[in-house]
Amino acid sequence: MMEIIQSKHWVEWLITISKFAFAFVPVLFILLLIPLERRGAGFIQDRQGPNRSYFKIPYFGRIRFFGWVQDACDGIKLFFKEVYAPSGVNKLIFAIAPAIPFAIVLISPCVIPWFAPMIFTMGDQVIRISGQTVDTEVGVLLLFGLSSLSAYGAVLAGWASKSKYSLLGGLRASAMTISYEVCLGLSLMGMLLLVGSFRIDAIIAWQEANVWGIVAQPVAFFCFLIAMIAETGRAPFDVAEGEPELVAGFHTEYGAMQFGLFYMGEYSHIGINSILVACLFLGGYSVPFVTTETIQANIGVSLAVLCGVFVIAILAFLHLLYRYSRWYKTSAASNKAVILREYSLYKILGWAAIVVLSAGAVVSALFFHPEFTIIDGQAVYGIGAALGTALIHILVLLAKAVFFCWIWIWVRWTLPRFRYDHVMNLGWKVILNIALVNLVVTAIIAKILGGR
Amino acid sequence: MLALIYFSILSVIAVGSALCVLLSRHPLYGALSLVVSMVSLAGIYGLLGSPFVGVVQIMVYAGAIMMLLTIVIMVLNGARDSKTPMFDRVSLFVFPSVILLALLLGFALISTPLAFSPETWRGSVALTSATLFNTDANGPGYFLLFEAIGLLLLSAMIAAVLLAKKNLGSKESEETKEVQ
Amino acid sequence: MVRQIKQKPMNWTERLYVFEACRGMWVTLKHALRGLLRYETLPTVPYPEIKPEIRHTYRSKHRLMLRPDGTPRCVACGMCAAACPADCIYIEAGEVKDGRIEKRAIRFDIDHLVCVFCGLCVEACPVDALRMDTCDTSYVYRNREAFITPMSELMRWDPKDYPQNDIQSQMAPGGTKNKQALEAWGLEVKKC
Repeated sequence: MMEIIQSKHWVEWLITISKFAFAFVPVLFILLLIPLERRGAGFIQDRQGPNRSYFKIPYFGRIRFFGWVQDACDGIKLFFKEVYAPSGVNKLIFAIAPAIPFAIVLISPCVIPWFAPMIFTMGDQVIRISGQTVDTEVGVLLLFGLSSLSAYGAVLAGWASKSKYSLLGGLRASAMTISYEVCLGLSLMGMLLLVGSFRIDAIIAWQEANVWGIVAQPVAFFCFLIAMIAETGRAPFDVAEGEPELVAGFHTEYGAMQFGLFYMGEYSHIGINSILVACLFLGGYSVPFVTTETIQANIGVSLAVLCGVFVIAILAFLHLLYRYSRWYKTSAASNKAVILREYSLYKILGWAAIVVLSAGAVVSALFFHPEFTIIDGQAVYGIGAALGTALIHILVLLAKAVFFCWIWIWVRWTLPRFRYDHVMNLGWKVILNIALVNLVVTAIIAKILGGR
Repeated sequence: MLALIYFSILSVIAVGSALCVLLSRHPLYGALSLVVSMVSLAGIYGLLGSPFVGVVQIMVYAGAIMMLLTIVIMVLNGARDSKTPMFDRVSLFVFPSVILLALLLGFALISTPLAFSPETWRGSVALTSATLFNTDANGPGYFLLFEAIGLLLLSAMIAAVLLAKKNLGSKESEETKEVQ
Repeated sequence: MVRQIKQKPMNWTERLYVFEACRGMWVTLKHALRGLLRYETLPTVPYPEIKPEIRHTYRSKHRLMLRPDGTPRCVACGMCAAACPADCIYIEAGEVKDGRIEKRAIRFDIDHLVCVFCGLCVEACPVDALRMDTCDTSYVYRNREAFITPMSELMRWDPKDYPQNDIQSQMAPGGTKNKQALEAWGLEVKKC
């Protein structure tokens, strides 16, 4: 045991262990997705969305965070409700079923590479840390296998509820998952053919070296996205829980946090799937037009650019805020004073962040020039440059994933639900065939061009 | 050392859930324990240095086949809480054969000791594909078998579709066509 | 007349669904961006803080019109009570001393829990004594009895809340036309 511990530097151990924290990233996506979904739905339907929940702090009064507090309200409400099971249910399976999708979502992110492999010198050692928590060569396959398991949650919940609606919902969920799993795998095959590996970091490295997957495989990207949305079981493919037909589908009989687990499982599934799409077709952590080596060589400037991006985002936010407060000042709202007081907090925070970030940008651009040593013809930097690069990579990946999260919500609140047979037709007769043709065409072109 | 710990955990789960398959009276419990057994078997495959086989085990067996089996159990009347008897005439045949098989496997394992080390890649993706699709004239020629199996599966699928659509020209199927 | 709406058959781009779906997505994106960037132009308002504008033609809570001297205009004819489909108006007539009208109402109760706000009482009133233009749409009380609005409550309104061209309202005490009306009325009285 001691040999294993001593075989690595303590910094390596620290980073390796802290990589396990990435398991919670899809769960954290719930925090983002709930307000994004509810307020986004509101805006799409010309409503305002939930913006009333608040907490009070001393000077600034009611803090609402533009509806962000709704997360806490939803969670607290679900958490403190009575856990309840109707009579006649199969108690054991009824209790286990909601945990399955959620548990699988916690395991899934282990194969996602969050940053390019870190190589840095520590003292006289050269340390290499891969971006995935589990560095395995079957990356994508493992993800697909796990997500095919997560359908058990719906199936078992549907069966154990002893309700016809639930059973039908569970059956539909499982049928959809199985049929769209096939499309998912097949549409990805073209990409895998080009890359020649199941490893997600290899796929990203290929995209960094050549072009993004969305350019190389647009048809596959389209099929993959549709199959992904269908596999998550969200509108327009949410036949498994279609309200007009099945009440709420497989979670009809669930309440309280048992329902909350399904809810969180669905949202974090969206999170993990967005990250996956970003990795496979949008270059993952790679910054467009800039290679990882360039970032590492100019780490100070890169961090400054990162700060600059944040500053611009905060300035846009402040601009909106000032517009709103100007409007509130002239409007007839009876809670003007409260809202303006709340906005003053955001303004203070925003300007403070701008000052700090600008100072950080200037400092890092002027003074952060890491030294490097040449090892095997490659420049290897210290731990600071490696961590900075990793930070940029993680943020880029998350930004891409958030964009896809928005696509999920956008599609859900735009398109009407398909009928069940239409969904099956689309899966088996359209998308599967498009993916097959795409695979064959890709194979031919790859053979002609690459000769592999 | 670590591999041994993992192996013992996984094997206890695998054997325990396999016993559950045999001993559970409820068909759905049996199916679920089979899933658990398969997942832990996949873990053991990964431990043996062939994660590809393990993942395929999860995807194909635990994910797809057992899902279909579960659906069949749920939709057909098997999933009513009728307790099937634990022993019947079939088990007279099953138990001796299971014990015989276990003895045989144990003998085989003892005679050729297996070394657990994750470093030895027995079934990596590259290795598997290189062996399977070795199209050299003096290669093993597995790719021919692969294609033959593909053809066999295709014909089986067509046969299944034809069996399912026995009354292809009947009135009912035409009506369903109109609905679509 | 039966109107026949001809539905055009879908052409092939429409039948592919994808392009039409993208068009729909573009529409919703525009709406979402409007909500984000032009929040104040959203047609919905945060209700209790910002009240929507209600026109005086909206049928809301009743009021009793007043004469220039502040007495209700009602002559207790009972037409409103007869017209009311919900039977929510209760009128008790009383004697009048000054001889200008025959009867006056000494009780005029409207049960707002029973009222259906159809406006037939307003139509029925021969002397324009009852109106439903207070723009008061939300009134909340603790018990059912409190919803029975008595005459004193119905007469409590301010001419300042009503537009200047609403001469009938402005003739009430406190209104801009009250002085003129009193003068004109006084002359009339003298003639009798």
